[in-house]
Amino acid sequence: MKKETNDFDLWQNLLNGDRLALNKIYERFLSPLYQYGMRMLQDEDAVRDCLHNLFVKIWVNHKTLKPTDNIKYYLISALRNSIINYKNQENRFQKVDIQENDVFDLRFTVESEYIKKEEQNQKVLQLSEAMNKLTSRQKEIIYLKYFEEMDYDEISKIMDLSKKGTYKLSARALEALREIMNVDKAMLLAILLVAKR
Amino acid sequence: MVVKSFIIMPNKRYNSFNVENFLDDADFLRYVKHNNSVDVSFWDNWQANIPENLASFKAAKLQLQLILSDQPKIATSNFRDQLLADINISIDTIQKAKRSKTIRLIVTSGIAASLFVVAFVSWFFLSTVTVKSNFAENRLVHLPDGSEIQLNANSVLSYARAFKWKARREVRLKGEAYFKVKHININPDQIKKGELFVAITDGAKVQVLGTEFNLKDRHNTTTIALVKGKIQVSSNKTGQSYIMHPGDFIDFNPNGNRVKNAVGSTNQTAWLSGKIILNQTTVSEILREFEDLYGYKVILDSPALGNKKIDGAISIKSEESLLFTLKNILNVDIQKEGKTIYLKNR
Repeated sequence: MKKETNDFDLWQNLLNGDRLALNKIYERFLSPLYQYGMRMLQDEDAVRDCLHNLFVKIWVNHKTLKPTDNIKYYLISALRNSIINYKNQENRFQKVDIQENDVFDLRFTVESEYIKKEEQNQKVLQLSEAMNKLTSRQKEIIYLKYFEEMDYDEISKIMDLSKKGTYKLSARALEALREIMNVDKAMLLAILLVAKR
Repeated sequence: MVVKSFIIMPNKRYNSFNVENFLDDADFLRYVKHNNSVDVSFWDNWQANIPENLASFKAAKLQLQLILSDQPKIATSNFRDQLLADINISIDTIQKAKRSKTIRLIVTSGIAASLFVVAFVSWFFLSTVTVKSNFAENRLVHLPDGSEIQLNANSVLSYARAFKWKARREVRLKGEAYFKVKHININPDQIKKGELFVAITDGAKVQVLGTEFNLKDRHNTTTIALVKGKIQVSSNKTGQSYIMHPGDFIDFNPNGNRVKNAVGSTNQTAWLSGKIILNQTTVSEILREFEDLYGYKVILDSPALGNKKIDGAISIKSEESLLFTLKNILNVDIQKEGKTIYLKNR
Protein backbone atom coordinates (compact mmCIF):
# COMPACT_ATOMS: atom_id res chain seq x y z
CA MET A 1 0.00 0.00 0.00
CA LYS A 2 1.29 3.41 -0.97
CA LYS A 3 2.20 5.59 1.96
CA GLU A 4 0.71 9.05 1.89
CA THR A 5 3.21 11.85 1.45
CA ASN A 6 3.68 13.93 4.55
CA ASP A 7 3.04 17.67 4.56
CA PHE A 8 6.67 18.70 4.42
CA ASP A 9 7.56 16.55 1.42
CA LEU A 10 4.37 17.37 -0.45
CA TRP A 11 4.98 21.08 0.01
CA GLN A 12 8.59 20.67 -1.00
CA ASN A 13 7.48 19.02 -4.24
CA LEU A 14 5.35 22.04 -4.92
CA LEU A 15 8.28 24.36 -4.28
CA ASN A 16 10.30 22.33 -6.72
CA GLY A 17 7.76 22.98 -9.43
CA ASP A 18 5.74 19.78 -9.41
CA ARG A 19 2.33 20.71 -10.82
CA LEU A 20 0.80 17.43 -9.61
CA ALA A 21 1.75 18.40 -6.06
CA LEU A 22 -0.56 21.38 -6.40
CA ASN A 23 -3.41 19.09 -7.40
CA LYS A 24 -2.59 16.79 -4.53
CA ILE A 25 -2.62 19.67 -2.07
CA TYR A 26 -5.96 20.77 -3.48
CA GLU A 27 -7.45 17.28 -3.05
CA ARG A 28 -6.18 17.00 0.46
CA PHE A 29 -7.09 20.40 1.81
CA LEU A 30 -10.09 21.63 -0.13
CA SER A 31 -12.58 20.40 2.48
CA PRO A 32 -11.33 22.46 5.43
CA LEU A 33 -10.69 25.43 3.15
CA TYR A 34 -14.17 25.27 1.66
CA GLN A 35 -15.74 24.97 5.08
CA TYR A 36 -13.78 27.87 6.52
CA GLY A 37 -14.48 29.97 3.45
CA MET A 38 -18.23 29.31 3.55
CA ARG A 39 -18.38 30.23 7.20
CA MET A 40 -16.56 33.46 6.52
CA LEU A 41 -18.36 34.47 3.34
CA GLN A 42 -21.63 32.46 3.22
CA ASP A 43 -21.62 32.84 -0.57
CA GLU A 44 -20.38 29.90 -2.60
CA ASP A 45 -19.49 32.02 -5.64
CA ALA A 46 -17.34 34.28 -3.48
CA VAL A 47 -15.69 31.28 -1.89
CA ARG A 48 -14.98 29.82 -5.30
CA ASP A 49 -13.31 33.05 -6.41
CA CYS A 50 -11.15 33.28 -3.31
CA LEU A 51 -10.11 29.65 -3.53
CA HIS A 52 -9.37 30.04 -7.23
CA ASN A 53 -7.14 33.04 -6.59
CA LEU A 54 -5.46 31.33 -3.65
CA PHE A 55 -4.33 28.29 -5.61
CA VAL A 56 -3.36 30.21 -8.71
CA LYS A 57 -1.34 32.58 -6.55
CA ILE A 58 0.40 29.69 -4.80
CA TRP A 59 1.46 28.23 -8.11
CA VAL A 60 2.57 31.53 -9.58
CA ASN A 61 4.72 32.17 -6.53
CA HIS A 62 5.82 28.62 -5.83
CA LYS A 63 9.48 29.38 -6.31
CA THR A 64 9.52 31.96 -3.54
CA LEU A 65 7.48 30.12 -0.92
CA LYS A 66 9.07 28.85 2.27
CA PRO A 67 9.06 25.17 3.29
CA THR A 68 6.49 24.16 5.89
CA ASP A 69 5.34 21.05 7.68
CA ASN A 70 1.86 22.37 8.34
CA ILE A 71 0.15 22.98 5.03
CA LYS A 72 -3.35 23.39 6.45
CA TYR A 73 -2.25 26.19 8.72
CA TYR A 74 -0.51 27.96 5.85
CA LEU A 75 -3.50 27.60 3.52
CA ILE A 76 -6.09 28.79 6.01
CA SER A 77 -3.91 31.74 6.82
CA ALA A 78 -3.52 32.60 3.14
CA LEU A 79 -7.22 32.05 2.48
CA ARG A 80 -8.12 34.44 5.25
CA ASN A 81 -6.02 37.14 3.60
CA SER A 82 -7.63 36.38 0.27
CA ILE A 83 -11.06 36.73 1.87
CA ILE A 84 -10.18 40.05 3.50
CA ASN A 85 -8.96 41.41 0.17
CA TYR A 86 -12.13 40.19 -1.44
CA LYS A 87 -14.29 41.91 1.19
CA ASN A 88 -12.33 45.13 0.85
CA GLN A 89 -12.97 45.03 -2.87
CA GLU A 90 -16.68 44.39 -2.48
CA ASN A 91 -17.15 47.08 0.13
CA ARG A 92 -15.24 49.67 -1.73
CA PHE A 93 -18.24 51.45 -3.15
CA GLN A 94 -20.60 50.68 -0.34
CA LYS A 95 -18.69 52.75 2.20
CA VAL A 96 -19.62 50.32 4.92
CA ASP A 97 -17.42 49.58 7.87
CA ILE A 98 -16.13 46.09 7.18
CA GLN A 99 -15.87 45.05 10.79
CA GLU A 100 -19.52 45.70 11.49
CA ASN A 101 -20.75 43.63 8.60
CA ASP A 102 -18.66 40.58 9.29
CA VAL A 103 -20.58 37.38 9.74
CA PHE A 104 -19.08 34.08 10.74
CA ASP A 105 -21.48 31.22 10.22
CA LEU A 106 -21.34 28.97 13.24
CA ARG A 107 -24.31 27.70 15.19
CA PHE A 108 -25.58 25.07 17.52
CA THR A 109 -27.46 22.45 15.62
CA VAL A 110 -30.05 20.72 17.68
CA GLU A 111 -32.55 18.24 16.36
CA SER A 112 -35.91 19.54 17.43
CA GLU A 113 -37.91 16.70 15.92
CA TYR A 114 -37.04 14.48 18.85
CA ILE A 115 -38.39 16.86 21.43
CA LYS A 116 -42.12 16.46 21.77
CA LYS A 117 -43.14 18.98 24.39
CA GLU A 118 -43.98 22.43 23.13
CA GLU A 119 -42.14 24.17 25.95
CA GLN A 120 -39.00 22.26 25.26
CA ASN A 121 -39.26 23.07 21.57
CA GLN A 122 -39.13 26.74 22.50
CA LYS A 123 -35.92 26.26 24.43
CA VAL A 124 -34.40 24.24 21.66
CA LEU A 125 -35.06 27.02 19.19
CA GLN A 126 -33.57 29.52 21.60
CA LEU A 127 -30.49 27.40 21.84
CA SER A 128 -30.11 27.17 18.08
CA GLU A 129 -30.07 30.93 17.88
CA ALA A 130 -27.97 31.39 21.00
CA MET A 131 -24.64 31.14 19.22
CA ASN A 132 -25.57 34.35 17.42
CA LYS A 133 -24.99 36.25 20.65
CA LEU A 134 -21.30 35.85 20.00
CA THR A 135 -19.42 38.24 17.74
CA SER A 136 -18.08 36.91 14.47
CA ARG A 137 -14.51 37.06 15.84
CA GLN A 138 -15.56 35.03 18.85
CA LYS A 139 -17.21 32.45 16.66
CA GLU A 140 -14.18 32.33 14.39
CA ILE A 141 -11.82 31.63 17.23
CA ILE A 142 -14.11 28.89 18.51
CA TYR A 143 -14.18 27.38 15.06
CA LEU A 144 -10.40 27.46 14.60
CA LYS A 145 -9.79 26.11 18.06
CA TYR A 146 -12.38 23.35 18.24
CA PHE A 147 -13.15 22.45 14.65
CA GLU A 148 -9.70 22.88 13.16
CA GLU A 149 -7.92 22.02 16.41
CA MET A 150 -5.41 24.83 16.08
CA ASP A 151 -3.34 26.02 19.01
CA TYR A 152 -3.22 29.58 20.32
CA ASP A 153 0.02 30.26 18.53
CA GLU A 154 -1.44 29.40 15.15
CA ILE A 155 -4.73 31.17 15.87
CA SER A 156 -3.01 34.37 16.96
CA LYS A 157 -1.06 34.46 13.69
CA ILE A 158 -4.04 33.62 11.52
CA MET A 159 -6.32 36.17 13.14
CA ASP A 160 -3.57 38.72 13.45
CA LEU A 161 -3.85 39.03 17.21
CA SER A 162 -1.27 39.18 19.96
CA LYS A 163 -0.86 36.04 22.05
CA LYS A 164 -2.53 37.86 24.92
CA GLY A 165 -5.32 39.07 22.66
CA THR A 166 -5.97 35.52 21.53
CA TYR A 167 -6.32 34.24 25.08
CA LYS A 168 -8.65 37.08 25.93
CA LEU A 169 -10.82 36.54 22.90
CA SER A 170 -11.07 32.83 23.54
CA ALA A 171 -11.91 33.31 27.21
CA ARG A 172 -14.60 35.84 26.42
CA ALA A 173 -16.11 33.61 23.76
CA LEU A 174 -16.28 30.64 26.09
CA GLU A 175 -17.70 32.82 28.83
CA ALA A 176 -20.44 34.02 26.53
CA LEU A 177 -21.19 30.45 25.56
CA ARG A 178 -21.30 29.36 29.15
CA GLU A 179 -23.92 31.95 29.91
CA ILE A 180 -26.01 30.59 27.09
CA MET A 181 -25.51 27.02 28.17
CA ASN A 182 -26.40 27.68 31.80
CA VAL A 183 -30.00 27.90 30.69
CA ASP A 184 -30.94 24.33 31.43
CA LYS A 185 -28.26 21.71 31.86
CA ALA A 186 -30.56 18.74 32.11
CA MET A 187 -32.29 19.87 28.98
CA LEU A 188 -28.98 20.20 27.15
CA LEU A 189 -28.03 16.72 28.10
CA ALA A 190 -31.33 15.36 26.91
CA ILE A 191 -31.00 17.12 23.57
CA LEU A 192 -27.48 15.93 22.94
CA LEU A 193 -28.17 12.37 23.91
CA VAL A 194 -31.16 12.21 21.64
CA ALA A 195 -29.67 14.01 18.67
CA LYS A 196 -27.07 11.42 17.80
CA ARG A 197 -25.09 11.91 14.65
CA MET B 1 -9.74 0.39 43.88
CA VAL B 2 -7.16 2.17 41.83
CA VAL B 3 -7.07 1.42 38.11
CA LYS B 4 -3.80 1.84 36.34
CA SER B 5 -3.90 4.62 33.76
CA PHE B 6 -2.42 4.19 30.30
CA ILE B 7 1.12 5.37 29.80
CA ILE B 8 0.20 6.82 26.41
CA MET B 9 -1.62 9.76 28.01
CA PRO B 10 0.56 12.61 29.16
CA ASN B 11 0.90 12.92 32.88
CA LYS B 12 -1.54 15.72 33.50
CA ARG B 13 -3.28 16.67 36.68
CA TYR B 14 -6.73 16.04 35.33
CA ASN B 15 -8.09 15.54 38.83
CA SER B 16 -7.65 19.21 39.56
CA PHE B 17 -9.06 20.47 36.27
CA ASN B 18 -12.04 22.78 36.23
CA VAL B 19 -14.35 23.22 33.25
CA GLU B 20 -12.17 25.89 31.64
CA ASN B 21 -9.09 23.70 31.98
CA PHE B 22 -10.83 20.81 30.25
CA LEU B 23 -12.03 23.03 27.44
CA ASP B 24 -8.47 24.22 26.91
CA ASP B 25 -6.99 20.76 26.76
CA ALA B 26 -6.14 19.41 23.32
CA ASP B 27 -6.25 15.78 24.41
CA PHE B 28 -9.67 16.25 25.99
CA LEU B 29 -10.86 17.86 22.76
CA ARG B 30 -9.58 14.95 20.73
CA TYR B 31 -11.38 12.53 23.01
CA VAL B 32 -14.75 14.27 22.76
CA LYS B 33 -14.42 14.90 19.06
CA HIS B 34 -13.05 11.64 17.68
CA ASN B 35 -13.82 9.02 20.32
CA ASN B 36 -10.72 6.96 19.59
CA SER B 37 -10.68 3.67 21.46
CA VAL B 38 -7.45 4.61 23.23
CA ASP B 39 -8.89 7.90 24.45
CA VAL B 40 -12.19 6.33 25.42
CA SER B 41 -10.45 3.64 27.46
CA PHE B 42 -8.37 6.24 29.23
CA TRP B 43 -11.28 8.47 30.14
CA ASP B 44 -13.57 5.61 31.10
CA ASN B 45 -10.89 4.46 33.50
CA TRP B 46 -10.37 7.96 34.80
CA GLN B 47 -14.08 8.33 35.47
CA ALA B 48 -14.27 4.92 37.12
CA ASN B 49 -12.02 6.23 39.87
CA ILE B 50 -14.75 8.74 40.71
CA PRO B 51 -12.59 11.84 40.81
CA GLU B 52 -13.78 14.89 42.74
CA ASN B 53 -14.14 17.00 39.62
CA LEU B 54 -16.28 14.51 37.76
CA ALA B 55 -19.05 17.10 37.48
CA SER B 56 -16.66 19.56 35.81
CA PHE B 57 -15.60 16.85 33.40
CA LYS B 58 -19.20 16.12 32.45
CA ALA B 59 -20.11 19.78 32.12
CA ALA B 60 -17.09 20.44 29.90
CA LYS B 61 -17.91 17.43 27.73
CA LEU B 62 -21.48 18.63 27.34
CA GLN B 63 -20.43 22.13 26.42
CA LEU B 64 -17.91 20.83 23.95
CA GLN B 65 -20.46 18.57 22.30
CA LEU B 66 -22.77 21.52 21.91
CA ILE B 67 -20.02 23.68 20.46
CA LEU B 68 -19.20 20.96 17.96
CA SER B 69 -22.80 20.27 17.01
CA ASP B 70 -22.87 22.39 13.87
CA GLN B 71 -23.21 20.47 10.63
CA PRO B 72 -20.13 20.60 8.43
CA LYS B 73 -20.28 22.48 5.15
CA ILE B 74 -19.30 20.17 2.36
CA ALA B 75 -18.45 21.06 -1.21
CA THR B 76 -20.23 19.05 -3.89
CA SER B 77 -18.02 16.94 -6.12
CA ASN B 78 -19.19 19.12 -9.00
CA PHE B 79 -17.85 22.19 -7.21
CA ARG B 80 -14.55 20.47 -6.43
CA ASP B 81 -13.96 19.26 -9.96
CA GLN B 82 -15.06 22.47 -11.64
CA LEU B 83 -12.90 24.63 -9.40
CA LEU B 84 -9.81 22.50 -9.92
CA ALA B 85 -10.37 22.64 -13.66
CA ASP B 86 -10.72 26.44 -13.54
CA ILE B 87 -7.57 26.76 -11.48
CA ASN B 88 -5.60 24.69 -13.94
CA ILE B 89 -6.98 26.57 -16.92
CA SER B 90 -5.97 29.88 -15.36
CA ILE B 91 -2.50 28.61 -14.61
CA ASP B 92 -2.09 27.27 -18.15
CA THR B 93 -3.24 30.58 -19.57
CA ILE B 94 -0.78 32.51 -17.44
CA GLN B 95 2.10 30.20 -18.29
CA LYS B 96 1.36 30.30 -21.99
CA ALA B 97 1.18 34.06 -21.95
CA LYS B 98 4.47 34.36 -20.12
CA ARG B 99 6.20 32.13 -22.58
CA SER B 100 4.89 33.86 -25.65
CA LYS B 101 7.51 36.25 -26.90
CA THR B 102 5.98 37.62 -30.08
CA ILE B 103 3.73 40.60 -29.96
CA ARG B 104 1.41 40.71 -32.91
CA LEU B 105 -1.63 42.61 -33.88
CA ILE B 106 -4.59 40.34 -33.69
CA VAL B 107 -8.19 41.01 -34.30
CA THR B 108 -10.41 39.41 -31.71
CA SER B 109 -12.69 36.68 -32.86
CA GLY B 110 -16.13 37.99 -32.64
CA ILE B 111 -19.52 36.88 -33.39
CA ALA B 112 -21.69 39.36 -35.08
CA ALA B 113 -25.12 38.85 -36.18
CA SER B 114 -26.69 41.34 -38.32
CA LEU B 115 -30.20 42.06 -37.59
CA PHE B 116 -32.63 43.82 -39.67
CA VAL B 117 -32.36 47.48 -39.14
CA VAL B 118 -35.73 48.81 -38.41
CA ALA B 119 -35.32 50.74 -35.23
CA PHE B 120 -37.05 54.02 -35.30
CA VAL B 121 -37.16 55.64 -31.92
CA SER B 122 -40.41 57.34 -32.84
CA TRP B 123 -41.89 53.89 -33.01
CA PHE B 124 -42.33 53.69 -29.34
CA PHE B 125 -45.47 55.61 -28.68
CA LEU B 126 -46.47 53.41 -25.87
CA SER B 127 -44.50 53.46 -22.64
CA THR B 128 -41.45 51.26 -22.50
CA VAL B 129 -40.16 48.93 -19.86
CA THR B 130 -36.45 49.45 -19.40
CA VAL B 131 -34.16 47.04 -17.61
CA LYS B 132 -30.61 48.12 -16.92
CA SER B 133 -27.71 46.12 -15.60
CA ASN B 134 -24.96 47.89 -13.71
CA PHE B 135 -21.30 47.31 -14.03
CA ALA B 136 -20.37 43.87 -12.71
CA GLU B 137 -24.00 42.84 -12.66
CA ASN B 138 -25.89 40.29 -14.73
CA ARG B 139 -29.67 40.38 -14.88
CA LEU B 140 -32.24 37.88 -16.00
CA VAL B 141 -35.33 39.29 -17.70
CA HIS B 142 -38.53 37.32 -18.24
CA LEU B 143 -40.61 38.64 -21.07
CA PRO B 144 -44.39 38.39 -21.04
CA ASP B 145 -44.31 35.76 -23.77
CA GLY B 146 -42.12 33.42 -21.75
CA SER B 147 -38.87 34.35 -23.47
CA GLU B 148 -35.82 34.78 -21.28
CA ILE B 149 -33.04 37.29 -21.73
CA GLN B 150 -29.84 37.19 -19.73
CA LEU B 151 -28.29 40.64 -19.67
CA ASN B 152 -24.55 40.98 -19.32
CA ALA B 153 -23.12 43.84 -17.26
CA ASN B 154 -23.53 47.45 -18.34
CA SER B 155 -26.40 46.76 -20.71
CA VAL B 156 -29.87 48.06 -21.29
CA LEU B 157 -32.93 46.20 -22.52
CA SER B 158 -36.22 47.86 -23.34
CA TYR B 159 -39.54 46.77 -24.75
CA ALA B 160 -43.08 48.06 -25.08
CA ARG B 161 -45.08 47.71 -21.96
CA ALA B 162 -47.89 46.15 -24.02
CA PHE B 163 -45.50 43.53 -25.32
CA LYS B 164 -47.86 40.69 -24.96
CA TRP B 165 -50.31 42.04 -27.54
CA LYS B 166 -50.70 41.07 -31.18
CA ALA B 167 -48.33 43.21 -33.32
CA ARG B 168 -44.79 42.01 -32.67
CA ARG B 169 -42.49 40.85 -29.95
CA GLU B 170 -39.81 43.47 -30.08
CA VAL B 171 -36.99 44.43 -27.75
CA ARG B 172 -34.11 46.88 -27.93
CA LEU B 173 -30.67 46.20 -26.62
CA LYS B 174 -27.61 48.26 -25.80
CA GLY B 175 -24.67 46.15 -24.68
CA GLU B 176 -24.81 42.36 -24.55
CA ALA B 177 -27.42 39.73 -23.82
CA TYR B 178 -28.17 36.07 -24.37
CA PHE B 179 -31.64 35.41 -25.75
CA LYS B 180 -33.85 32.36 -25.25
CA VAL B 181 -36.84 33.14 -27.40
CA LYS B 182 -40.08 31.25 -26.95
CA HIS B 183 -41.39 29.66 -30.12
CA ILE B 184 -45.07 30.45 -30.60
CA ASN B 185 -45.51 29.93 -34.31
CA ILE B 186 -47.96 27.18 -35.18
CA ASN B 187 -47.93 27.06 -38.97
CA PRO B 188 -44.44 27.61 -40.45
CA ASP B 189 -45.98 28.29 -43.83
CA GLN B 190 -48.03 31.07 -42.43
CA ILE B 191 -46.15 33.15 -39.92
CA LYS B 192 -48.36 35.61 -38.14
CA LYS B 193 -46.95 38.98 -37.17
CA GLY B 194 -46.88 38.46 -33.43
CA GLU B 195 -45.08 35.16 -33.77
CA LEU B 196 -41.94 36.81 -34.97
CA PHE B 197 -39.49 37.98 -32.28
CA VAL B 198 -37.32 40.95 -33.08
CA ALA B 199 -34.22 42.16 -31.24
CA ILE B 200 -32.83 45.53 -32.25
CA THR B 201 -29.49 47.18 -31.53
CA ASP B 202 -27.81 50.26 -32.97
CA GLY B 203 -26.11 48.24 -35.65
CA ALA B 204 -28.48 45.47 -36.54
CA LYS B 205 -31.81 43.77 -36.23
CA VAL B 206 -32.44 40.09 -35.57
CA GLN B 207 -35.65 38.30 -36.45
CA VAL B 208 -36.40 34.87 -35.07
CA LEU B 209 -39.26 32.52 -34.48
CA GLY B 210 -37.88 30.68 -31.48
CA THR B 211 -34.23 30.20 -30.84
CA GLU B 212 -31.17 30.93 -28.67
CA PHE B 213 -28.55 33.45 -29.62
CA ASN B 214 -26.02 35.89 -28.18
CA LEU B 215 -26.27 39.51 -29.24
CA LYS B 216 -23.58 42.07 -28.51
CA ASP B 217 -23.45 45.69 -29.53
CA ARG B 218 -20.65 47.78 -28.10
CA HIS B 219 -18.36 50.46 -29.51
CA ASN B 220 -20.34 50.57 -32.76
CA THR B 221 -19.67 46.94 -33.50
CA THR B 222 -22.43 44.37 -33.50
CA THR B 223 -21.78 40.70 -32.95
CA ILE B 224 -24.30 37.90 -33.19
CA ALA B 225 -23.75 34.26 -32.35
CA LEU B 226 -26.45 31.73 -33.07
CA VAL B 227 -26.75 28.74 -30.78
CA LYS B 228 -30.06 27.18 -31.78
CA GLY B 229 -32.64 27.59 -34.48
CA LYS B 230 -32.51 29.76 -37.53
CA ILE B 231 -32.48 33.51 -37.65
CA GLN B 232 -32.49 36.31 -40.14
CA VAL B 233 -30.22 39.20 -39.52
CA SER B 234 -29.87 42.51 -41.26
CA SER B 235 -27.39 45.32 -41.01
CA ASN B 236 -29.06 48.59 -40.06
CA LYS B 237 -26.66 50.64 -42.13
CA THR B 238 -26.40 48.67 -45.33
CA GLY B 239 -29.78 46.97 -45.27
CA GLN B 240 -28.05 43.75 -46.28
CA SER B 241 -29.63 40.69 -44.73
CA TYR B 242 -28.25 37.27 -43.89
CA ILE B 243 -29.63 33.94 -42.77
CA MET B 244 -27.83 32.29 -39.90
CA HIS B 245 -27.69 28.66 -38.81
CA PRO B 246 -26.64 27.22 -35.46
CA GLY B 247 -22.95 27.72 -34.87
CA ASP B 248 -22.86 30.74 -37.17
CA PHE B 249 -21.83 34.18 -36.09
CA ILE B 250 -21.67 37.51 -37.78
CA ASP B 251 -19.63 40.57 -37.02
CA PHE B 252 -20.65 43.99 -38.28
CA ASN B 253 -18.13 46.82 -38.26
CA PRO B 254 -19.19 50.44 -37.63
CA ASN B 255 -19.99 50.82 -41.33
CA GLY B 256 -22.48 48.01 -41.12
CA ASN B 257 -20.44 45.71 -43.30
CA ARG B 258 -19.87 42.12 -42.46
CA VAL B 259 -16.41 41.20 -41.26
CA LYS B 260 -15.02 37.93 -42.50
CA ASN B 261 -13.65 35.58 -39.87
CA ALA B 262 -14.35 32.20 -38.36
CA VAL B 263 -14.71 31.52 -34.66
CA GLY B 264 -17.12 29.19 -32.89
CA SER B 265 -20.30 30.29 -31.15
CA THR B 266 -19.37 28.76 -27.85
CA ASN B 267 -16.79 31.46 -27.20
CA GLN B 268 -19.34 34.24 -27.36
CA THR B 269 -21.57 32.73 -24.73
CA ALA B 270 -18.80 31.91 -22.29
CA TRP B 271 -19.76 35.01 -20.29
CA LEU B 272 -22.87 33.16 -19.14
CA SER B 273 -20.59 30.95 -17.07
CA GLY B 274 -18.42 33.84 -15.97
CA LYS B 275 -15.56 33.38 -18.39
CA ILE B 276 -14.19 34.72 -21.61
CA ILE B 277 -12.50 32.38 -24.03
CA LEU B 278 -9.38 33.80 -25.54
CA ASN B 279 -8.30 32.78 -28.99
CA GLN B 280 -5.41 34.96 -30.03
CA THR B 281 -7.26 37.75 -28.27
CA THR B 282 -5.29 40.93 -27.70
CA VAL B 283 -4.81 42.39 -24.28
CA SER B 284 -6.53 45.55 -25.51
CA GLU B 285 -9.65 43.55 -26.32
CA ILE B 286 -9.60 41.93 -22.90
CA LEU B 287 -9.16 45.27 -21.19
CA ARG B 288 -11.94 46.82 -23.21
CA GLU B 289 -14.26 43.99 -22.20
CA PHE B 290 -13.23 44.61 -18.62
CA GLU B 291 -13.97 48.31 -19.00
CA ASP B 292 -17.38 47.53 -20.50
CA LEU B 293 -18.33 45.16 -17.74
CA TYR B 294 -16.84 46.84 -14.72
CA GLY B 295 -16.88 50.50 -15.61
CA TYR B 296 -13.19 51.25 -15.21
CA LYS B 297 -10.76 53.02 -17.48
CA VAL B 298 -7.58 50.99 -17.81
CA ILE B 299 -4.28 52.62 -18.70
CA LEU B 300 -1.26 50.60 -19.73
CA ASP B 301 2.27 51.61 -18.94
CA SER B 302 3.44 50.51 -22.34
CA PRO B 303 0.87 50.53 -25.15
CA ALA B 304 2.72 47.70 -26.87
CA LEU B 305 1.47 45.47 -24.09
CA GLY B 306 -1.99 45.93 -25.51
CA ASN B 307 -1.01 44.08 -28.65
CA LYS B 308 0.02 40.95 -26.86
CA LYS B 309 -2.03 37.92 -27.86
CA ILE B 310 -3.47 35.53 -25.32
CA ASP B 311 -4.91 32.04 -25.68
CA GLY B 312 -6.90 30.32 -23.00
CA ALA B 313 -9.70 31.31 -20.70
CA ILE B 314 -10.04 33.81 -17.91
CA SER B 315 -12.65 34.25 -15.27
CA ILE B 316 -14.65 37.47 -15.35
CA LYS B 317 -16.81 36.54 -12.40
CA SER B 318 -15.31 39.09 -10.11
CA GLU B 319 -13.13 42.04 -10.96
CA GLU B 320 -10.69 40.78 -8.39
CA SER B 321 -10.05 37.49 -10.14
CA LEU B 322 -9.92 39.14 -13.55
CA LEU B 323 -7.38 41.74 -12.43
CA PHE B 324 -5.42 39.10 -10.62
CA THR B 325 -5.16 36.94 -13.73
CA LEU B 326 -4.19 39.91 -15.89
CA LYS B 327 -1.61 40.93 -13.36
CA ASN B 328 0.04 37.55 -13.73
CA ILE B 329 -0.30 37.20 -17.49
CA LEU B 330 1.20 40.62 -18.15
CA ASN B 331 3.53 40.75 -15.19
CA VAL B 332 2.32 44.16 -14.08
CA ASP B 333 1.39 45.87 -10.87
CA ILE B 334 -2.08 47.25 -10.44
CA GLN B 335 -2.75 50.71 -9.13
CA LYS B 336 -6.28 51.91 -8.66
CA GLU B 337 -7.31 55.52 -8.43
CA GLY B 338 -11.05 55.90 -8.27
CA LYS B 339 -12.41 54.48 -11.50
CA THR B 340 -9.05 54.36 -13.25
CA ILE B 341 -6.68 51.44 -13.18
CA TYR B 342 -3.04 51.75 -14.10
CA LEU B 343 -1.14 48.66 -15.17
CA LYS B 344 2.52 49.28 -14.55
CA ASN B 345 5.28 47.07 -15.82
CA ARG B 346 7.21 45.30 -13.11
